[in-house]
Amino acid sequence: MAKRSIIPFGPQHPVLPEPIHLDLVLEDEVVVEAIPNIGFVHRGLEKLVETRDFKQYVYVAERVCGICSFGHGLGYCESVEHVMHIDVPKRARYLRTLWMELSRIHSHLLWLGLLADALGFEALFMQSWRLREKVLDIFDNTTGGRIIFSVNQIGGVLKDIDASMLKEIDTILYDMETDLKPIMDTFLEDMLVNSRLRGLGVLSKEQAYLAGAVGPMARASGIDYDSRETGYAAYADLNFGPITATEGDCYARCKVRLAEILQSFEILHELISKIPGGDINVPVKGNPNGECFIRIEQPRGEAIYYTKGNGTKYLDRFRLRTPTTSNIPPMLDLLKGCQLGDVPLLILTIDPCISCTER
Amino acid sequence: MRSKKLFVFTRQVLKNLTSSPVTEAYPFQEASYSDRMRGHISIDIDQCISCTLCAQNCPPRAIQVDRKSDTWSIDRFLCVQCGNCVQVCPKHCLKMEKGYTAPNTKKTMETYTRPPQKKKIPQAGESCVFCGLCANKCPRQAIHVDRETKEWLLKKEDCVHCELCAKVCPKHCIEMKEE
Repeated sequence: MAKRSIIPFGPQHPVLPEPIHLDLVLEDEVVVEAIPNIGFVHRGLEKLVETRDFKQYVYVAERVCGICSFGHGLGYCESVEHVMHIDVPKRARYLRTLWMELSRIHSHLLWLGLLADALGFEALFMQSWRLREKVLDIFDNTTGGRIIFSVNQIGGVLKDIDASMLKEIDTILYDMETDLKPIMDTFLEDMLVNSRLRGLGVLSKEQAYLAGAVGPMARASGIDYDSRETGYAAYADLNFGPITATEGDCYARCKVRLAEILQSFEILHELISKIPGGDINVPVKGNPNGECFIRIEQPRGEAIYYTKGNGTKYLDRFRLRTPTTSNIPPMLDLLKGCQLGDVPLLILTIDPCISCTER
Repeated sequence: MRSKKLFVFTRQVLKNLTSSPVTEAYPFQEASYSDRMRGHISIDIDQCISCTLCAQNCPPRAIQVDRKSDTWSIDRFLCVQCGNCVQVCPKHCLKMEKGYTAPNTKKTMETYTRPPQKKKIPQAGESCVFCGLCANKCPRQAIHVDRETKEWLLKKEDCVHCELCAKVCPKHCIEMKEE
C-alpha cells in the first residue's frame, strides 16, 4: 500500500477567490479523502437581523454576497412580503426578474472566466470578463451600482426602467449573443479545453441526488429541477424549463452554464416584450408577524430563505441556506479518487461562494 | 466524441490587435459615471431640521445627528451608499451624488453645522377633527391626540419641526408657528 500523506489546501490558494480549507489525504498523487473546513469569513449577518429594522435589513441581505447580491435581496423581500401578505405590483415583479436574470448572466460569465483562468487560458478569461462588463454597465445605468444594486424594497422596487432604456437593454443583449458565440465555441469545441474538462469529476445522477447537489451542478448530472418553476417574481408568466445534461462531468457543468446564459437571453427578450405598466411599489403598513420559507434559484443553485417575525419591527430570525453549502458534500464525492492536479479545477466547477456560505 | 477544433479564438485575437482597448485609460482620461450612480451622500445643511430620521434609518450607523449643537456628521468609511437616508429625509436635503469622495488614510467624521434659525412648531386650528393622522405620521411621537376628550397635545421638546403633520392633515388646520 502506498504511503498516505496529508496536504493542506487553502485557505489561501491561487485558484480560490475566497477562503476554504481542505485537508487532502493522498496516496501518492491520488486523493483518498478530502476534509473541508470553513469559517474564515464569518461576519454574523444573520444575527444582525435582530438589531436592524426589517426594512433596513434588505441592504444587509444584499451584502451577504457580491455576485448573488440581488438574489439575496429578492429572497429576503419575497419572504417578508409573504409573511405580511403584500401584493407586489406586476411591473415590480417583472423588473425584479429582469435584474435577477441579468445577474445570472453576469455570474455565469464570471465563472466561465475563472474556469478559463484555472485552465491557464488567459485570453479566454479576458474575453469572458469583457463580455461581463456589458452586463455590469446595464446595472450601473439602471440601478446606480455595478455589483450592489440597492433597488429592492419590501413592497416592490425603488427604481423604474423606462421604455427607451428597456429597448437599449434588448439591443445590448442581442449584441452580447453574437459576442458570446466565439467564447462558447472555444469552451465547447476547442481541443485543449475539451481534453481538460471531458470525463473529469463525474458525478452520477444518483450521487448528485443523495449528496444534495443543487443548481447547475445537479442539472449537469441529469436532475431535472429548477426552483424558478415555483413561480416567484414574474417567472410564472415566462416560458422556460430546466436545462440538463447527462454526462455529470466538468464539461457538462460548463455546457449547462453556457446554455443557461442563452436561456437567460431568451427569458429577458420575452420579459421586455411583455412588461406591463403601472406602479413599482406599494406602501407597507405594520410589522411582520409569522414565518415563511422561500426558495429562489440563484445563479449557483437553489437558496432557501426563512423569516420569522414577532409583530415588532425587528425580526426574530432570518435564515439563509446558500447553494454552496449544499454543493460542498457532492464536491467531496468528486474529490475522492481524483488526481492532486485536478483538485483546483474540481473545486471551481461547483462555483463556490464561501462568503455566502458563512455569512 | 472528442472535438478536434483548434485555434477557435484566433480570429478574436487578431481583431484585438487592431481594435482600441476596451478599458478606460483612467486616470489619464476622466472616469465616466452613469446618471444614477450612487457615489456619495451630500447634504444641503441649510434645509436640514435635525429630525434624526436619516441617522435612525442608516443600516451601518454612519450618520450621527446632534440636535443640541445642530450638527450633522457622516463617517464616509462606514457609509455603504444604500441611499436609505435620501428616501426617508422629509425635507429632501440629502442627495445621492455621482463620483467618489477623496481617499483618506485616517477614518474621520465629516461634520456640517446648521446655521441658527427660528424653529417653527405645529399648532392645530379650530377645524381639527382629532383624526389622529398627524400623531401617526410624527416620526418622534411628539403629538398626542385623544378623540374622546377632544385633546390635541404637542410635546415641544420632542418636536423636530419636520412639518410632516401639517402635510398629512386632511383638514389643513395645522399651522407652523414660531416658538
